[in-house]
Amino acid sequence: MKMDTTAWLMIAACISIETIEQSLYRWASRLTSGPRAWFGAIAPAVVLHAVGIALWMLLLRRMPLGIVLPLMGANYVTILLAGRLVFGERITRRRWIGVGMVATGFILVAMGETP
Amino acid sequence: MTIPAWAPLAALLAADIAVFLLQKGASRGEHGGSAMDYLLEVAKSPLLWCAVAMTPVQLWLWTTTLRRADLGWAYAVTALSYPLTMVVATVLFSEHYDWHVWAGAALITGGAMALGPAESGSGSDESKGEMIHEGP
Repeated sequence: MKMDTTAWLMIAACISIETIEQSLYRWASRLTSGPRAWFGAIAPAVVLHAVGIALWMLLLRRMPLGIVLPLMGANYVTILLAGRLVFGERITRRRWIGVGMVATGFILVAMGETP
Repeated sequence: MTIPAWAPLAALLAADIAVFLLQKGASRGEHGGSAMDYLLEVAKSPLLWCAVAMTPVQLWLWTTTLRRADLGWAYAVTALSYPLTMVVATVLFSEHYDWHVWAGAALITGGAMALGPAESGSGSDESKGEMIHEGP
């Protein structure tokens, strides 16, 4: 079974949603607690989480768990990159190696087939 | 009786795997119709609600783990949930993958371990802030 365009779009959407959600939590952690943190960051993150679960369940209907689950590991990289781009967090050499490993693994899984 | 340090981490790993399997289990079966019909049907699935109910359990196990074990070590071990879930899925759901998928999953798992915090549980605030423990 090969991934079709719809499945790829759903994977991309799941990864994007998870990245934005985690970035919102990170942003909330930098705000002093109060309505701004709750309504500006945490509440949208919770809504995104629910949307992400719905998309994930739709993806599981179409594709084997063992294919889409490792592909979602791309989250680790996108969240790391969001941390660098949005919050100016440092990425060490060890983590760049991890980024390369996840990216290579992602390509390999995408090349794979299931009977 | 003293609970060994690895016990909550092993339980967390099992819980992570269980959530993925419960979600996949909920997605199976005769779900015809539109995406909305499917989602409404899945929302009634006890398996999905079991997965949702696991969330506070996972959170408790994670915080319990971090009181007993190094953050970097605990984080690395939880990355094993991907390949272990795949192994169980081959048995439970009769899924089969070619070597690309297994090799790719191994690389992603190794990469996720490398992306984890380098510091121990008593390490820097920076490493704690950057820690990601997540799943779909």
